[in-house]
Amino acid sequence: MSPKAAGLAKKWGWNHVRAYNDGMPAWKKGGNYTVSTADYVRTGNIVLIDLRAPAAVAAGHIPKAVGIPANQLESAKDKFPDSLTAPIVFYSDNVEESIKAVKTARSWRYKNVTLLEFPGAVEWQKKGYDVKTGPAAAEIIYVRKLDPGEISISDFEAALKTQTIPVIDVRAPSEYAAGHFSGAVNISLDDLPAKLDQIPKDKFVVVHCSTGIRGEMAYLLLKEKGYNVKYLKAGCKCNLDGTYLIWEL
Amino acid sequence: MKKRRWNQWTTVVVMMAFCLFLGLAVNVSAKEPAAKAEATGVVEIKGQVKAVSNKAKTVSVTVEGKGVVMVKFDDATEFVNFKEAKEIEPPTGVVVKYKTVGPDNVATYIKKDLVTLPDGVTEIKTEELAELVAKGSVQGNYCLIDSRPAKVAAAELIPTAVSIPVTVMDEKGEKTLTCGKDKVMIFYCGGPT
Repeated sequence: MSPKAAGLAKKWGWNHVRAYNDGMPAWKKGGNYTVSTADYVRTGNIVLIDLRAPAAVAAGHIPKAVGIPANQLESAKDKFPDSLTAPIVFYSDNVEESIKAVKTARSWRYKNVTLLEFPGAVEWQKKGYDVKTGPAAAEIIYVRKLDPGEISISDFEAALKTQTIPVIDVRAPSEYAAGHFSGAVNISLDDLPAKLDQIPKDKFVVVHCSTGIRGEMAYLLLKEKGYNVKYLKAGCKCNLDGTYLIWEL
Repeated sequence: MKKRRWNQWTTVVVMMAFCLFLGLAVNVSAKEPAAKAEATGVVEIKGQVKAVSNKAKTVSVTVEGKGVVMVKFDDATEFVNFKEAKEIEPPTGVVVKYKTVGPDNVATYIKKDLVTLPDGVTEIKTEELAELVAKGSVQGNYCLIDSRPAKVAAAELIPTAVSIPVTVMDEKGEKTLTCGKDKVMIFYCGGPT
């Protein structure tokens, strides 16, 4: 996209045109902070944190914000969601403080941490968006939206319990042998194209691997072949004794 | 039970925005002499890596107009601009040649598609851009433009950047750029393709 855009600008008469080919991934890898627009903050499924002191928050804050003063952020880690892909947006009246908060949340391995575009709260009010007075919410509530084809962890566990829905483990046979979900059938992703006839076409089926990567590939393949299928997009580990652990990534 | 938090490189896939080139869907089907009875002709696709599983030796590639194509690789696969399969990661742009052997697509060739810039356009690296961004667009005398789709850009922008999707530039022309011609125009998207 950017080389094409740069080419257009050049064609239209801009003489100093440059392309940042490495783009957003490299920017974040370099430890630089990023920002979200006020519109995104207003409408997105995000976790919004107001870093200001309680008095400033009480005077007026963005309605969906949770109040965690900057100096208490380090000790508030347990309040944050399990899902490391949860979009987390910070704002405050202090730029340094905000940037530090981004670094803190990224050090907790959250992947999508941003600041409300400067000047944050001021811009918010200028746009005439809602402001709430009084104390902000104290607890973070975040429900991740499922991706297309994804089964929720709770629905997946229900499927394991009832054993009425075929569960296909697309990991390698060696991984399956080291522990698998009770009732799951092993057809590794490599073998899947050749073993399609082993999967019932008239039934809803679920596929999983250990991270969702191979599971999603299997899901896309099966969906294309006309199967009624969902996949588990989560981390999981099965033990030989049948116990298991599933966690949000 | 408190669920464990694991750092999975895989989740990167989710947040990667797409950065597509013109004429992404090159789809050449060349008939090969039927040396192996079960192998069909070689198909060439050009697209963006969606996911890689080194355990299953499989890569899925998003091809414009064609959807996601799943291709296996093996010891016979020729890697160009990659030293080994492990270097392949989303959302790298790739050219893949594969044969359909029985139920499988097997890659004979996977090439990393290197970026070629239009004439007169120079590349900027993270460090230099970070210095400019720290100065701000007025003092730095630049306009930073996010070329990705508006929704993606709104969620996460480089500070001081403005969202102008390349599709909008394409449709509406020169008037989409309101920066003075004395400014340095810097464009970015979701990474090298």
